[in-house]
Amino acid sequence: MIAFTAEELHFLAGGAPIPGLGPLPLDADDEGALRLMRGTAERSLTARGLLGAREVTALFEPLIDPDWFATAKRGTARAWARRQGRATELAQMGPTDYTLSEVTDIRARIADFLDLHSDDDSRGLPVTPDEQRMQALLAPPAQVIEATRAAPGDIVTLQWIDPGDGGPVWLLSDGDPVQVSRTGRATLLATLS
Amino acid sequence: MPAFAAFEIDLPDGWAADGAPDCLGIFIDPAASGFRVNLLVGADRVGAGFDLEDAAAATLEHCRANFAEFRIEQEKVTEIAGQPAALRFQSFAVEGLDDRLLQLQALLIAPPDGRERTKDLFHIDGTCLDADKERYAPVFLAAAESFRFV
Repeated sequence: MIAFTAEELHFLAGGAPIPGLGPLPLDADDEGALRLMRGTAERSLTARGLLGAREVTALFEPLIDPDWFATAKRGTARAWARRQGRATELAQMGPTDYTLSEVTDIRARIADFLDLHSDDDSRGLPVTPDEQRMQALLAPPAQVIEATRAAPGDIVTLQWIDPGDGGPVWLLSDGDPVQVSRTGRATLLATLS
Repeated sequence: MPAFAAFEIDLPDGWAADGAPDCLGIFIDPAASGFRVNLLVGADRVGAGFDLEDAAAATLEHCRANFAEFRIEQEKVTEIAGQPAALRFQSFAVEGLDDRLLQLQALLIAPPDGRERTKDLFHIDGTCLDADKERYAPVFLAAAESFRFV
């Protein structure tokens, strides 16, 4: 596992988008700020021996040009990217701090992060909750979680309410009015991975 | 001529403020042992064309030239007092000390105040023994991030 700042990741990516990576810490439209971020990233990576390092290149390859990737946000951001049998996990550790690590079992890592370990593969019918029911579903410790899985020609974006009790979640569907479907955690994991 | 902008900074209970040459203020942790752990705030008047990247590069060059066994631990950017800021954790050896010193150096430029030819570069330098970095690095970082102009 290697720690990076957002500006280091942007610098290493050379402008290419990286799944799960948030914005730069300073205004990228400000020429002075951009120059500072580039200079800082280059100095820091050089000092840490990471500029051009083989292990960094290996971690970056799946992120820069993935065959498949998934992103999720549960408080902090996380992303998993796979390319030709190699996979990398990006984990947000702070507002502009990240780690990259090699990952072998993406499905397990997604399940860990999104608390989707379960054998419940149920899929309920959509229902339209009234305002009172919606407030009840969103009451703490419930969390609204979102995740995306993407491969060429196949993008799935999901948003759900996790009641925080380990039981089924409530999958949210687009539209007006909003509908929810009682969904098993294993169903969700299968959809995402 | 305009004075340097007044500032406030938050430090843990027990730290003492003091005056020292060539800086605006120095703050000491009297509870530290083995080294006088300190956080220093200073300012330099620089040309209007001098920006933060110039400052980061120039201070790095100065540190490399003046500190033995100098090493950058990490550099990053952030915002302090609503202004872009450059942070550098660095370490170096000092004669007479068995352990290396760890230093956080934060640089920021005071907001524009109408001057056309000059501006003020503030620096916040926290220094402790490298062995104490787990304890003091978060203190230095929190103090630097609390810095504000008043």
